Amino acid sequence: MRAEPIGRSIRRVLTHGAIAALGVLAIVGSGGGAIGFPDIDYGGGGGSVPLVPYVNVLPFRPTVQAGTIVRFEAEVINATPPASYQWRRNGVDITGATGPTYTLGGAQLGDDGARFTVTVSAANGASTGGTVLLVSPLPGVVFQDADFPVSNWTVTATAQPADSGPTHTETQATDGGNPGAYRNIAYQMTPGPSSLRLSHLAVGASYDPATQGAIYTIDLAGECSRRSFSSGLIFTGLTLSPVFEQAGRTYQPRDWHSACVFAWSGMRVWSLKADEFQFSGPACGAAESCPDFAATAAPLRFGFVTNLGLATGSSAGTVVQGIDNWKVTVWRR
Amino acid sequence: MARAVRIPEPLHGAPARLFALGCLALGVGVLVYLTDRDPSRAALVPAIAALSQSHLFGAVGLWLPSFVHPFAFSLFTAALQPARRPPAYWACALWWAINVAFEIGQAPSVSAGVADLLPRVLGPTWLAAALSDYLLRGTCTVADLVATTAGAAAAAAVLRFTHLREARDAR
Repeated sequence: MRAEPIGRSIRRVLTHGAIAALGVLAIVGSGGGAIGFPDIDYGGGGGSVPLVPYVNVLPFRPTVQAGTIVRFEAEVINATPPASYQWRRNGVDITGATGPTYTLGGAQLGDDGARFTVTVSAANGASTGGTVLLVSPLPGVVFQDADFPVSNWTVTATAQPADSGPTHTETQATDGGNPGAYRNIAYQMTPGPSSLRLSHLAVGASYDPATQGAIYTIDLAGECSRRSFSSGLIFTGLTLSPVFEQAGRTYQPRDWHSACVFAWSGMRVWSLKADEFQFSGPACGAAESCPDFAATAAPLRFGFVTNLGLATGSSAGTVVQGIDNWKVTVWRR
Repeated sequence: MARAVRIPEPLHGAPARLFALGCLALGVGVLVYLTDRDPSRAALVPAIAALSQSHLFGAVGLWLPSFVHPFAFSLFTAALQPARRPPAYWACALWWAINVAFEIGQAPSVSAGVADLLPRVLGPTWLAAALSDYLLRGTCTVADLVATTAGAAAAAAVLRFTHLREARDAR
């Protein structure tokens, strides 16, 4: 068999490389595969993918002030047109509510706890999704910061190792946030294993149930990103979680997962009740509620916790984290 | 003295057919994004208002791109194979593996960690941002994995058919 000329071989290799690059680019540029399929079930159930409609109702479990106009939207995936809609309140058909959205013209206290569902019937089947509406007689008390002047915040650090361990610096970055200004946190890390947990509390972001009333629910939101880092670092995590402090304990939502990557990303959770927080600090006594949302409870101070860990073998270096769009809404009974 | 001048061979015969079939399949895949998907989610596909949300493919459009990609690029790679070689089944296996790796990369347990590594490897580039979007916003589904496998298998079947036809014609 005659050997292929070297020029042709080179050309073939280059063409293979170009096609490979185009192929990978096409995958990345597609934006993420079959948008809308249910996730794989990693729980060992086998992961079925029924090609039937699936419906979410947005917003998910909102708390609103009485009198607020609430617009529910059916987010439908996998539905083969034509699709029809029927909205229900506590299982009873709402007359005329047969579109992809339903607007409640002024929530009443009687709507508190009401379940709004929508059934979507499409050519490939039917599905029902729903949400619960919570209604407060009072406006929400909002604490927020999207600009982060340094003087607006206090910081408490917990470092490992405690002696000659990691240190930190907080500044206000005026541009590059999501959008505009953001809080810039520089961690000067010692070689791994090492970690630095920073508790940031907003000055004046305090809620006193004794004077402001018992708490019904709390909404939380925040975004973070990893702005830069030294080479040779091995991370075990860089995270953000909104928190509040009450009676010496620090509370954070159970279902908050916000790993900070280089793009801005974050979470928003609505209408958290007392039993949806976990705490660190002194053990909760038998006669205590942890947290306590009653009108006799101790004041709450709001903020967020950031955490950075380096694994064994990691070199020393600097990591810069950004925080933006922190917001807390306290809803009262 | 006359010099022999080698004229580059144009793409013809079986490789041309493989290439054309791959292009046709890729065109159908792009059409899915234009008609059935939200074009703002795809970095490389323009939004064309007249086609947007026309749901031309219905339920098939949910998994068709995952089928088309390994199918088309397996054929493109195989079309570059020198003539009279055995079918390039390795190309199907290679593109199946690449697609599965990207799909698994979208699993929640994997995506954040991989997205974390991107700036270290790629720096603050468009590719790093697009890849991060792909990993963090996409979904890893059984349907995609099945469609990817079917696409690679279909490409292998086409290569087999083409090879048998070439062998028959040569006799």
